[in-house]
Amino acid sequence: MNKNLEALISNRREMLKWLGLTAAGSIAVPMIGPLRVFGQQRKVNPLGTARNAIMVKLSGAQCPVDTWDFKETRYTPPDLQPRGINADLQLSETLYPKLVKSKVLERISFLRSMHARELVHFTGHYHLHTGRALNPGVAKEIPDFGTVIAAELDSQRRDSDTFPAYMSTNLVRTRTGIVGPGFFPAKFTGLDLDTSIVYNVFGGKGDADADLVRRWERLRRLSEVSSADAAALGDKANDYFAYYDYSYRILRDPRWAKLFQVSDEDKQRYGFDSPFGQCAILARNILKADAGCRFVFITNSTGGNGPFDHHAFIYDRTKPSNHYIECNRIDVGLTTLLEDLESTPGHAAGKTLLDETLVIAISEFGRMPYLNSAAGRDHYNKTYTAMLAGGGVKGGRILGKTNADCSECIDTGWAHKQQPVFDNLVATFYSALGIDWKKKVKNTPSGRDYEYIQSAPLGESAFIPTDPITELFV
Amino acid sequence: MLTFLLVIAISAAAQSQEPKPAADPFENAHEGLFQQKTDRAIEAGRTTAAFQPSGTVVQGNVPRRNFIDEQIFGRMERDKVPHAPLATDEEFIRRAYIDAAGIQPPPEKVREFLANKDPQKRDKLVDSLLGTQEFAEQWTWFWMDLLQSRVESFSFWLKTALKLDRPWNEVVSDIIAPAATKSQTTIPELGAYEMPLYNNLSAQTLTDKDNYRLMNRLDLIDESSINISRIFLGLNIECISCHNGAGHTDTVNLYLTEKRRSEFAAQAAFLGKWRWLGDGMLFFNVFADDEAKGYTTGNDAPYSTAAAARFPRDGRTHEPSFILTGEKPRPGENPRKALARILTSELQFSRATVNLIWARLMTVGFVEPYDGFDMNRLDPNKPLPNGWKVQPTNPWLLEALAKDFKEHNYSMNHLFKTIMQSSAYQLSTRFPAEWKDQYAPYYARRYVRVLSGPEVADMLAQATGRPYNFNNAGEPVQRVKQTSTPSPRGRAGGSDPLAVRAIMQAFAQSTRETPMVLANNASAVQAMLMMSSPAVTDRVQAKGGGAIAKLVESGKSNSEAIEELFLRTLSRFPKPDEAEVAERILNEKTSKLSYVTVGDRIQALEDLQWLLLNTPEFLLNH
Repeated sequence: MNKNLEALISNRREMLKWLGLTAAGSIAVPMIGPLRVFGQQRKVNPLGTARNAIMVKLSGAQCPVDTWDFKETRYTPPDLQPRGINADLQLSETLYPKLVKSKVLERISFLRSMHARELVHFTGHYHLHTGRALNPGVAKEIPDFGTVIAAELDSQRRDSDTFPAYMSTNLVRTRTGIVGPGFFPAKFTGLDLDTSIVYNVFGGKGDADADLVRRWERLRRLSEVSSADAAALGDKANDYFAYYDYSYRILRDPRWAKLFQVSDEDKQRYGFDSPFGQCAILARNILKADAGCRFVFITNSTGGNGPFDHHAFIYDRTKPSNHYIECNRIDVGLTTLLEDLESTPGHAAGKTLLDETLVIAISEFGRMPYLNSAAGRDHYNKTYTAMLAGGGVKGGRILGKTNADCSECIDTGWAHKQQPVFDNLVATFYSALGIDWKKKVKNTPSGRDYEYIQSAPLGESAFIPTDPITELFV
Repeated sequence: MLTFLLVIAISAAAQSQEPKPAADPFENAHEGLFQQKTDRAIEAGRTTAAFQPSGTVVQGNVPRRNFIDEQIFGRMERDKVPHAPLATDEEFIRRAYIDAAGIQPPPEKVREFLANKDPQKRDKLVDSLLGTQEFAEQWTWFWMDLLQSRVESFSFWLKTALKLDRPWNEVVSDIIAPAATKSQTTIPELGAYEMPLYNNLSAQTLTDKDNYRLMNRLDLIDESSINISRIFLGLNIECISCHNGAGHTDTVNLYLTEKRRSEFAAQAAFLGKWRWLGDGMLFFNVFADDEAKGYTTGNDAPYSTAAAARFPRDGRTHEPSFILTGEKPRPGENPRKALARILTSELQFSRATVNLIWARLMTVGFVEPYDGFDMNRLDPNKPLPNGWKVQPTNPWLLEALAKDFKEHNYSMNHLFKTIMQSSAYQLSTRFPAEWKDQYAPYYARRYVRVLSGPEVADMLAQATGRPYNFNNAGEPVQRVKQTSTPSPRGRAGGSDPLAVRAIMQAFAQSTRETPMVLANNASAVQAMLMMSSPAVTDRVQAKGGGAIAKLVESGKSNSEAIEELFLRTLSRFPKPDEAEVAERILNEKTSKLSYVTVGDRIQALEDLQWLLLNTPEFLLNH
């Protein structure tokens, strides 16, 4: 770092002390004392195959029967051009043209026996953000699962890391909004980037940067006299300011500005005109920067229930939004993201960034196997499909099986009789990242244990298995 | 079964343990009452200690103005707990404006107040703030957050109630038992049920009012009952909506542990005859009446009512019985009206309400969280099982305040006046001694509070003289709190609404789809947005025609401009050394840092306002 710049930012020792203070003490901690985290008696072996992870939320609920669990039924539009990928998998070339031709397809696996607890978007989105069904009784203290990942991976942070461990894009625009850190220390809060703002504000506008630097220097001068209320300034420096220092460090890290500089070629490849393309580029750039962020949560949402929510006219090309358009956007953004991760070297020798990054793409639930009276498909939660790739996932696997029209699951595809739910995918994230998913925290504000993966979500008289989908890794 | 092997402390290395209380006879004597770990109070105390380091403080006389002061200062005197002096006039006027009205005092009001020699001026200030439009907006926003509603008509209705100081028991009675036969937009009180309604639909497609297949009626009733109980009684009965308390809440809540799921069902049965029907898009044309059979969990045909979000119900029909007292509706009485009558007459309704208002005004409630009351632990004279302590930070004051609220016909204005005109409310954040965690429940100093999302947003617009242009039911409005939704829509283009929404969410504004959290946390995201969001950086620009533009045009001198900016942004005069630094900034032509290019005086003025907006003093209510 520029020597002069260091003069502005307190030296590292003081910085760490301030960050330590804010984590432990005054202004940030929603809990008193360290989190009491307990491991369970049964031993678990996290896979530890991934260094990073990306969660892709396909908001609005993509229809599985026409996309990732393709079945030809009497409701299938005639122009979907299904291509046989292997004995078990067909994909529509109309909906996913780039993916069916991409080499990265052999890195991808599908889990077709997913089921969801929810049938409406808000609770569905909430489940995807927090990894559990909504329980309003304790919702106030429940963190989004990215916070948990940030807390768990905190001990691996290097001195050079400035980015928060958990970053996301456009979550602020979803119905759930930013769930936040709940009862976890606020220092693990995810940083959400609103793509409609950040590219403009940070994307290579030299002036904005100069403004910030000049203002920061002036702010420091003023705060030196403002907070000098008493002789006891020394150690008891303004803890609040530590947040400012932390944030300023991020903003001034050269890797930060680079996140938002996008070549024309990349814009074209990712479909930059759609918010999802803008998010996918950020996910790639954030992980490539390797500046401390280890988990990125992106979505195609731009507000409301989500672009895939086609209760009417799902395949009507005259409508401004339909499944053709939305699937194509995911196709372009997600396929390119996977391809770029695959062609970027990872940390370990001989590994690619895709080898080291677990990517899971999923909606909040599925859509009906049949069309409704408005030529659309309504919500359906009994079966739907998740896509997994990278981070140790063996590509080309299809786990789970549904019947001829995707209305029933006939084979769960893993070790349990119960179909997996999103909680199991969160367990998969944790396991791949080397996190013990069986942990629980005891001293929560409500007194109720916070289990990393809940063993009994509301409504189910049987208990769901809390395992990750290890079957895809071995 | 032993379940722990490993304790991992997830925090930075410099973690300090909780301080062990010194051996103090007074502390020991009151061990049972005031040594309880009130987490939120301790946290608030530490936060404030960090923001406002202790120094030499002139104690001065703190008069006891009402029964609140008798309780607060009486306890402190008895237990030899030191307390802060009164806040200065500058501190007080800003705090009173923000708490009551969610805005800053305009500069001319600050000047006037500081120059005023009237010994009654603080009381008069409080009186002048209550019942105003801004007061109604600030507190309507609060209740809309709690009730998780974005319905515009409901927000108008609440604002009117607050402006008129309508007896709060009547307001809540109307919410519990709206005369519901028409749509949400014409019967505003139905807006309180926006979220339960949404969560219990199967889809949002077009339907007709005889199509019951899409509505999960009993779940809707359960969720509405839970909300009513949480918000108006402070009782979170969500837990017992699935299972008996025993075996589940034993370490959390003594009262709930005695309760059974059947008692939850009996409480929910007050809404048992309620049915909601759709016509058109469900949110805009809802019809509700009291024509269902009752809370019949076995066969609630023709509705789709298998428990979707909780364990299957017991198959019986439940009759209404009030959870706290067992009281039933009178013969022939509409059960919803019965609930409204019974609930609002209970003292617990008053306790829960005053607790909410106290928690906002004093940063730490008597009971935290607001819906976590344990009825078995409110009475300080009642012996408790081993390991349990009385729950409220000051159980006597909670009781007195609740009774006072009830005796004064549930007047919100009276409640606010009583609190804000007390010396307890008017203490400073400055503390004359080393702060200790055990002082926390005494309210021995003012606790700082991180501003809420809409407060930051509106104060930002106000300080920069650049109001918003949002759409509220077709009407253009300038403040976030004038709208009814945390996702305001803009009238003209631009990214303002999105940028404002991002700032608000960083300051813990919920989308209203989940229960409200009274958060009090700083975060790096807040800092990043305040430093670089266009909502801030655009607003401080001279070319925007706001406060900076006017300062430039006015031809004011440096010292006048500096004073104006401090008054506009921090509601106080600058201290001499602050004015000196600011003066230097306005005058400098170069920077001593080689990579910084300095512009002109206009740029310096813009920077100065940016600086002030990015100080903890702005972002905290102190």
